[in-house]
Amino acid sequence: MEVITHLDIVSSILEQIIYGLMTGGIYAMIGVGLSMIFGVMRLSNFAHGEFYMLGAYLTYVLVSYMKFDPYVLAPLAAMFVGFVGIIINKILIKPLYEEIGRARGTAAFYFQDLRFILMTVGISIFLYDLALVVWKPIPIRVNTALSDMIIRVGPLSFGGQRIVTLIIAITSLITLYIFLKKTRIGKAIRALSQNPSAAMLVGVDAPKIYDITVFIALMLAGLAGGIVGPIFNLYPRMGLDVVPKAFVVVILGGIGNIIGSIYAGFFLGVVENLGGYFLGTEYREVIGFVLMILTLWLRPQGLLGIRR
Amino acid sequence: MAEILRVSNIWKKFGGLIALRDVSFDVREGEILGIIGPNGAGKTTLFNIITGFLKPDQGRVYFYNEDITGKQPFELAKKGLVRTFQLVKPFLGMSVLDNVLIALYMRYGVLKGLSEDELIKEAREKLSFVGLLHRENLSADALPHGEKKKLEIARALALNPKVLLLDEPVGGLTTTEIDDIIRVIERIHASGVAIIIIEHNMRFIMRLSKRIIVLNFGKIIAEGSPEEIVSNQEVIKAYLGERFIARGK
Amino acid sequence: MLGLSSKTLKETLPLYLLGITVFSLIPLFASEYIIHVMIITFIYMILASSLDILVGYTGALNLGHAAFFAIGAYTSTLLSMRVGVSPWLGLIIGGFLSMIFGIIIGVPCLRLRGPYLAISTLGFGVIIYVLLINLEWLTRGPLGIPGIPPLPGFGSLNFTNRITYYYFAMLMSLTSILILKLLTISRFGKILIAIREDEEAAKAIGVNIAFYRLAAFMISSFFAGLAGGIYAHYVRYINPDLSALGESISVLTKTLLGGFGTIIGPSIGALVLTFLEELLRPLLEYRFLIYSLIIILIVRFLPGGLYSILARYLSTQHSILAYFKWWSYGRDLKSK
Repeated sequence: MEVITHLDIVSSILEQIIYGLMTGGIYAMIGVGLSMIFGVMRLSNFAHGEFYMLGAYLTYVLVSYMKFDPYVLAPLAAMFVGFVGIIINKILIKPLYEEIGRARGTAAFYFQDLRFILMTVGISIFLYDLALVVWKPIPIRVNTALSDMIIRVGPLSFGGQRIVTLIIAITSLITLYIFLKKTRIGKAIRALSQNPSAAMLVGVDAPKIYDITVFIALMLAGLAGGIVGPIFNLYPRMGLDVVPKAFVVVILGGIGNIIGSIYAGFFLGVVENLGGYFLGTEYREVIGFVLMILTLWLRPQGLLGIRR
Repeated sequence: MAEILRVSNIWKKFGGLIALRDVSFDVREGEILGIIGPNGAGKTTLFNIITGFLKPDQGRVYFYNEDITGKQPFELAKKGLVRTFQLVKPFLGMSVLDNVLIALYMRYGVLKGLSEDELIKEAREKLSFVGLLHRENLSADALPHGEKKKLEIARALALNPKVLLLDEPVGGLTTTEIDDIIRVIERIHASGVAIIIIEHNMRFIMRLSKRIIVLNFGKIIAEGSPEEIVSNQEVIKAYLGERFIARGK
Repeated sequence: MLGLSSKTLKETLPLYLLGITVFSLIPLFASEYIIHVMIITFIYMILASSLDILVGYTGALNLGHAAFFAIGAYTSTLLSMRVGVSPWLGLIIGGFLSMIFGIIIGVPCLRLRGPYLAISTLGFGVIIYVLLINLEWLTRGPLGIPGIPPLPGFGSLNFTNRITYYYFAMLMSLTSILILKLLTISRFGKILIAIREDEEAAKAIGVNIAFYRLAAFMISSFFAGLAGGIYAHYVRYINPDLSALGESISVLTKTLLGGFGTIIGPSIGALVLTFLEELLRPLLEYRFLIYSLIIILIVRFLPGGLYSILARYLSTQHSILAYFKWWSYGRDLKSK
């Protein structure tokens, strides 16, 4: 009897960890984008979660009309989300940047200004309510042919869609990783994130990089939303609910540390699941916040100490 | 002359970069000490460490024989160790008068004693001292650069400093404005306050300081009177490529 | 004391009395419904103005202010219902308990700036919300607590009477705002402004930033808790949604609309938005759409809020109006 019980616990924990990695992949995709935008533009994008939400709903809409698989259409929706982000950046963020710049005159403090936070909060609520009005607070499930597929690993079994989601998440993150580490633009992004003045001194074209960063970051968030449809229900609040987690990820990974936030995303997913398993699901949500507050207080360079 | 500030074997690293290397010197009562050195030599870092904005990795700072290493800036300001900033930091949303008045609040105590009118009188005195009284009701962000620099000094004076650390007090100023500041500093000197000045403007430093310390790559490479410094081989090497003329003291 | 000269008091008190007079007249011709909305407005005025101490003066964006409101409400409720304490005492204790939570939240936030502070306060708000929902033995969870006792009357005053409660809420509200305003004109207030304007410079002139930040948190949360208690004994039903993010955003919008850094402005914002909310009740779906548009437009085009419009027509020599300038960034009033 005891041996079976131990195996049960171990496999439950293992299951939680693997599910945690899956959710973590989503967190990482959203968090890394937030980290990029913050690192490069010093802008805390409180609206980041809404692009995740938009990606999810847009994928759903495309699937309904084109009858293709969501995993195929998600990247398409994601790119559209990226463009929406660029437009919002152009109409709302840049003018604010210029206006405050004229008045204050010191480059470093632009985006940290209260007005930007409030602006992104406003954008966030606007997009949320838009979704609320258009799609109503009814949960939506997006179907994929893979829903019926079940994959077994040892004593554990997972739905096919979860595996695919994890695969897409990991693939896109690895692609991003390579992009950030190896390509010129990627390095420029990391440079701006670590030391804006030095980066600009060596010739990094900041405004162009801003646009590219915004596009990539929001596209990733949108993609995350698109691939999440087959697993979780879509509901208008999903953006608002996920954005605090995204901030937690950024902070756990180390502020300004883009690579770190990728690891932090997976870490959060696992910790949430394990925490929920041991403490009860009601407290799942607060685990991340408690960790974040502790990190900010005691180890602001990030919990994990990943190299930038 | 008694030494009132002693900096002892200060080391400071930022990641792999050694900003300050075993820096030691002292400041005597009532003297004007100049600190010069190429950009990036560590001068402002030194100020930051002395005034508590940064903690040194090694070494100690003594103020009137009290170990003040690592103490908070606000504690040191209250003790009479006051600094200004290289990039001026006025309280932009407040009037010129209020900028100085606030410093007086901190000096005399927020809840205590002196009436508002008495404090306003003293604030006006400080503004007259630097020649800003006519601007007292102006919002600080409306001041031209030169006057912001003066405001910075007036505010520092309001704290009744025993040692005043001026970080590039004439950076970006015209010759006339520089002369103004020179006069202000001479008057501060006359009142017995010890002053440490970081500057790039050689004429300015040579004119005011009796003693100069030269920093390069975080190390003190020379210390002495302006004449000694000017003819010092190490100093000339450090400034190689930069021509300067020490003229008229 | 605290640098409030008799001159300043002479300028502030008449306004206070004027406000009391004007608001006192309303029940004479307003319907029961309007009186009800005004009571809610008074409560939100306290909330919005107390948030301003943190955001407009200390520069700390609190995205979880509603949590303090809820703590005050729940404290007063539970004390009067479970422990039998008089609701009058409950109100005050509610304020103080909120203040203690203000310290609990303020201390970790002392070293944080800008977005990190904001997201931490958001986190705290969520933590409080989750606690209120899950500690069912204490709070009855999502069901909330109905049947809260009203404030016990005395003499001929009966606080179940709406008009009586109106005057009570009005006095509490206007007095709280007076206290907050006086604080901000005082030396203490100027120091907060200095911290907001330039923290490093403030440190350099002897300001203990941590102390003042914490003090601001405490003051802000005390009044929010007080407002919560006043709400609880009026509406007589509370539930965890009082602490939800949406409520915090709602308060923030009121403060923003009115104008940060003015204390009076946020109250005006509260007035406008509470009535707007009532008018828009049929359009509840679009409620957040309108809020968000207000936020976006104000931040972009009128950062000084409604107050800045008001102030342009009033004398700028007036000491009370002296410090709304933060949002002006030198655009209009360059010199007095």
